[in-house]
Amino acid sequence: MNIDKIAVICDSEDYDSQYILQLITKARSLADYDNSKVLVCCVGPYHKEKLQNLSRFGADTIIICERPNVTDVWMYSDIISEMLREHMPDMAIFPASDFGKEIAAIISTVFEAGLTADCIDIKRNKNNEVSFYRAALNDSVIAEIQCKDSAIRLCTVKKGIFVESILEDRERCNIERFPYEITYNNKNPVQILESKKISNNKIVDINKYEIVFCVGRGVKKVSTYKRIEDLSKRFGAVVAGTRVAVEEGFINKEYQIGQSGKSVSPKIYVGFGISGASQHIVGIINSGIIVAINKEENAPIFQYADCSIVADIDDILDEIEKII
Amino acid sequence: MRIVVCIKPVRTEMVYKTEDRNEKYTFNPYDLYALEQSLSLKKLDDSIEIIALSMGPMDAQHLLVKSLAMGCDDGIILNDSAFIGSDTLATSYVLATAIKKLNKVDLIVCGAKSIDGETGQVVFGIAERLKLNCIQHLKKVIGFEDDKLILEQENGDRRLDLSLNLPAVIAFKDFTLKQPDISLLLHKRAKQKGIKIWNADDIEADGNKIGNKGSKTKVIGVRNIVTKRERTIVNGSIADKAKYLTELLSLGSNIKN
Repeated sequence: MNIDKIAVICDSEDYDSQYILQLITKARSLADYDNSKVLVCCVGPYHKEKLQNLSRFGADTIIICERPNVTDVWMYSDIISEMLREHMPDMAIFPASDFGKEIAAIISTVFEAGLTADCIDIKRNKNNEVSFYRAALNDSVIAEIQCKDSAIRLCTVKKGIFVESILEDRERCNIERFPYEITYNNKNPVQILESKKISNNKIVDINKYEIVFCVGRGVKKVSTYKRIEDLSKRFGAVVAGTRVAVEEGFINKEYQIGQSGKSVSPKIYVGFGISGASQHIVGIINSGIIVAINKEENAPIFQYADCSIVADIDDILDEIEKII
Repeated sequence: MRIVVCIKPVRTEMVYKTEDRNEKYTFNPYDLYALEQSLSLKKLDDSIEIIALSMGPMDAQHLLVKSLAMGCDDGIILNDSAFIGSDTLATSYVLATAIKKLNKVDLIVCGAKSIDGETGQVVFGIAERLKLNCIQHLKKVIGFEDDKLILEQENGDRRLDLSLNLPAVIAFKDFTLKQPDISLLLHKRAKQKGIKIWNADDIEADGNKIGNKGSKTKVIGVRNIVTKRERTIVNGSIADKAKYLTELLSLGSNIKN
């Protein structure tokens, strides 16, 4: 199956964010496999320099629907549907933001096309199909998924999975305005009665830390957690956790790492009592040095760690506290 | 008002890994939260009708009996060998088709995602197929006024009180791991009342849109997570291991990756 055209669907806010540039870079490298084209679909204000910048990362054609601040999901998905219908790419990559995931799920339904969520890799494989990779259920493996009977292959990709890179000698690409008229009649179903800022719910950027401490199922006591937190301050680290740690109430959802949380790539990652389910591992594979501490010798995380420390967490903390 | 709550049965060991439970399936914790929120509406007005709807194996029917015991008016399990292998697209087709069959549904309630698949795609698929608005990131139900639902939403760093026009599809963001407390008497009554079992014919599903046949994705295989790491095992006493870690952490930002 030849892939002639790969589309990247931009988010509602910025069409030239680092995140979108990562997706365009990946689309470019996939397109180079058989000289296909990269189409970037944007909705927002027409900003010439920003749009031209997208070509430096690999866009061949950019279509832009000139409408500022489209936050209405119906309208956005309607615009994207029309764009895809007109240009009919063989595949489309969406950001795995809340908004991107919703749009992708709607497009999947509209086009009856296969959609893979939260991909950690996309490859052309031997039978010339496109394979999407995501964490498999309840196991330390990655599933390879392909679309079937789909006119368009769809996927969402998490932030920070691919690295954006500028190409040299790129010619300027075509920028086309995409006319759109509202064809449906949808009243806003929601009235906002009250809106308050949540003071303790700030948006956290765990990617700014060079050291990440991560707690998992093996951390069972509040006292252990507190000791890890104290240690983190000493080394300027952030304390994050697995889904289990969030469920146990140790870690705020904003600090969850893994498939349903965030992806991190610190210089040093230290896993405290992390077993190493694939849903977590996919969030840390781009880390510099992975250190794992677990008393279970056979914990799957040791397969992915640079440094394996088989020990009880509290015992290790006792010793560290003596040293520092 | 007629409400349908969509509940995914998930394997018990996916949720309660360390506990010994004898049931093969349990509530997806996100859906259990959504179910409890929906039932809180019934406390405000008993005339509200709540239907629990699941697609899954017969081993999971006890979850619908539990839903009845918790206060639902009806429990329906969608079970057919033709449903097996449904991806998110086929699943949203089956659920939406069953909801259409139920007729005059004012509100469809879902959890944000399932704890096993973690895609969160089905809720949007249902809304798109039924051509209904979909509101997500909900925290709790506050109540209703006339035919509008009052909800609390937590979106990013804002907490909003919303008034929502019905019909609509809504998704709650939270989950609960606390199993519902159901008295034996209520459980017995629910068992006597019984649940409904619908197959593909009962909902008049298009055989080309369900199960493996209707799915647009297929799993080709699994592989280990590729790793090019040197696996150093830190040996020695606990003190040696602690020293190793402390020295590494002290290097901190001086490390070049």
